[in-house]
This record gives sequence, structure tokens and C-alpha cells, in this order.
Amino acid sequence: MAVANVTELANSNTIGNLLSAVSSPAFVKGTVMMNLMYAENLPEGTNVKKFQKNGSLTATNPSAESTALAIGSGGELTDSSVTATAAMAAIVSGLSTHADKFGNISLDRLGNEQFSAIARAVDTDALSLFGSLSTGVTSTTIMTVDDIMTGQFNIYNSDCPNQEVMLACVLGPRAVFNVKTEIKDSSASFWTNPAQLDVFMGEPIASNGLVGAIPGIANIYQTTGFGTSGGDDQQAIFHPMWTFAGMFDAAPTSWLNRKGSEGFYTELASYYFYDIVEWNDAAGVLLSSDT
Amino acid sequence: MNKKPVFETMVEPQEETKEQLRGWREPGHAYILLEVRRKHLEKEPVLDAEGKPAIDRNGRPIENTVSRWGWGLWTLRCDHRPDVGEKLTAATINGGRVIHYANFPKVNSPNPMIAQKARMHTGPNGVCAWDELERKVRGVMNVNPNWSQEKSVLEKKLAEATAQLEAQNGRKTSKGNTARASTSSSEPPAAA
Repeated sequence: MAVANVTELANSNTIGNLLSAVSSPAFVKGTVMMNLMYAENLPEGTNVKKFQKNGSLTATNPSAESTALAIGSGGELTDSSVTATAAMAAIVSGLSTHADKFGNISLDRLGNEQFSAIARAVDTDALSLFGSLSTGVTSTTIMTVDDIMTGQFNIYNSDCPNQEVMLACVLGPRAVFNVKTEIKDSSASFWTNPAQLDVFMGEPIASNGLVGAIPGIANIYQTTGFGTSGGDDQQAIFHPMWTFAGMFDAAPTSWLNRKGSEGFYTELASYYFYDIVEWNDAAGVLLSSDT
Repeated sequence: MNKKPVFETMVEPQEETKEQLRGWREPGHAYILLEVRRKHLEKEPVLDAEGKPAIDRNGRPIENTVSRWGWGLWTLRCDHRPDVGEKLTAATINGGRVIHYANFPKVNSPNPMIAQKARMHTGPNGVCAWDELERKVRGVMNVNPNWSQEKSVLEKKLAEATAQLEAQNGRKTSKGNTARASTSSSEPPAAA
């Protein structure tokens, strides 16, 4: 029972709530794909750019001595291209005068969050192109190293250039977990073999999504936001130089508009022009495994 | 074991694609679902001289990688930007088919955020870019939302007709009319 006439906390004037010094970030996906494709700036004077693809010639069998050789189809060089058309991703936010004056969300913070949202939109658009790859490996259930190697084999079998460059394998968390489990459970002397440890890399995941590497196979990246087919995530192994191409504006553009008669708020509108296309289909393989 | 249901699309997909639509979760964003030609890389067991699956010295089955052309799904996102017409055209030129689309933002959507998004992508001519995309998508689709009901009606009729035919063949055999019952026999018909 409380003692009477004691001056208690309620007798004083106190601040209702105090905010912590640090706020945790939102739990949203990171960006992975921007560094795993060929990128160019937006064109000037048009919103269309053709990403070129070189043709090749075919030599004939050696012809007999002193025999004329007419121009054949093997001597005709034909280049092709893939068309990218820049279009806009946009986001509009409003900050009321009350929130601006008395709240703790500033226009700077809104602007940063808008840019992050645009970056995520670009990344998920790139991930959605995995489904357009015309060659696919579907895991029986979970992702295995063998499935990833089958994808690598097909890319090399298609004579993809620059095979000295490590392929990129972008997987979801479940697939990465399954690959790590398979390596852990292998009969090799796992923890004493530095090459085996590469996929664990000594730290969980880098800020660009890099998990580690399966030596001689691919660099493994982890992200979320894949398309699905049946109960499977549509992931991919691909050549980072030749599979996907994109054209990007230098940076998102923001407009600041103060609104009075429309509600006394500050409107922050940001937009960003870009496009991402599948450049060379044979340089990538779709990997489908359980979600 | 109960099989998961097949997602019902606006256009009837190939049989192989139906299996990929079993348990398929529709995304919450605007999308176009395409059925695309896909080369499936599959494992096939290598058989030994006795016709049994071959095993290596570690006891693991030896498998060969083979390729098979078939069909696959591609979910083309169009929620961030509706300007995906060129990708749609490229997919259909390469043999793909649009089998479904959904969640395109509308200016009259009851969700104010979705309506605002649609207005943001409405040009000075007052046409929403997603409405234009929808027109383009429907132009390349052979929409028949009743395909599964129509198919089940036809299958039922086929089953009834097959049962009738079998009943007729059964009746003729039981009356001893072997000449009519079997026309492919190499032996001459029995004397009456």
C-alpha cells in the first residue's frame, strides 16, 4: 500500500515519450542486379537504344587449286540487336506542414527513401527477366550444386565468350541455404579445406548480396523478389557481361512543390528513366527450385 | 495426397504449363503471365549392359544431361512501369503466348494509392498507360475465360459417346455376330 503524501513521479511534469538515438532500417530487399549487367547511359535525343549483337562468318572447306569461290551465305556478315526503350519509374510523396514542423520525418529522409524505392524497383524489374530465359533447369525439389553446374555447362556449351569471367548465380535464401547444407553435409573434409569455405566467405553476406563462390562454378548472390512457376522460385545463373543490358539515367530527379489550396503540404515527386533487356539469351540459364 | 489446384488462366495453357500452374501463387502487383518456349535440361539415368541404372564407384547413380523443348512460365512485371510493350512483342515473336494478366492499376480503383499511381502514368491525352497496355495485351490473347467449363462439357459428351459405342460393340458380340465384331481378323469368317 502506497504511503500517503509522498511526492511521486506523477506529481512532476515529464516528457511523454523519448525516441531512441537509432532507428532500425526497414526490412526490405537489397539490390543485386545493377552490378551484374552491362550498363550504359541514356541516349540523347531519343528514348530508344539498340544493344548490338555481332554476327559471324563461316569459312568453307578448302577449295581446289585455281577454283573460283563465289560469295556464299557463309561470307555474309549480319549483325542484330535488341531494343531498349527508356521509360519512367516514379514515386510521389507528400509531407504535411504539421509533420514538417513538429514531426521527425524530414524531406531529406523522404527523398532518400524514394531513391531506395526506385532502386528496388529497378532490381525487381531485372529479376523478372529471368523468366524470359529460354533454357531452364528445374530442381527435383531443392537447389543442388549439380543443378548450378548443369546451368554452367549449358552456358559454356553455347560458346558464351569470356569464359574466364566467373558466372553470377542469383538465388533466393532457401536455395542458398540448400547449397550450403549440401556442401556442409558432403563427405569431403569440409572445415579444413579453404576452397570449400569460399561459399561461406568468412562473413554472412556482402552489401551487394554476394554470399561467396563455388570454386570454378559461379559467384553466388542472394536476394528476394523472384518470379515463380508452380512452387518454384525462378532464379538464374548467367554471364554478368553478356546476358542482360540496361540503360540508366545518371540519377533520379526530384521535384519539390509546395501546395497551399490543395492541402498545405509539400509534394516530393521523384522519377527515374531506365530500361533493362535480355541481351544474349544463350548466356543465361533459368534455375527453378522450391521456394 | 491432395494435389494443389491449377491456377485458372484466361487462356487455356498447354498441358505441360498446367502442371507449372499447379500451386502457382498470383503476385499482388500488376503482371502479364506468358507461356514461353523453354529448353528443359533434365537428368536421365545411364543404363548398364543389363539395362539397370548404372552406379559409380561411390554408389551414386550415373546420369546424363539431356535437353527437351517444352513450355515454361514467365511473369512479366509491369507494376513499376507500364511500358513493357516491347518485351511483350519480343516474347510473342519468339513463340510465347499471353495466358493471363491482372492487377493493372486503374484511375477509378477503390484503393486511393493505386488510383493515384494510375493517374501518375496518365498522359495529357487522358489515357492511362496501363489501359493502353491492357489493349495491347488483349490484342495478342485469344481470351476465352470459359475454356475450362467448355472443355469439361466436351469431355463429358466424349465419355458418353465412348460409353455408347462400347455398349453397341458389346451388344453385337453377345449376339454371336463375330463377322461384325472383328473386321481385322486374318481368318475367313465362319460359315453360317
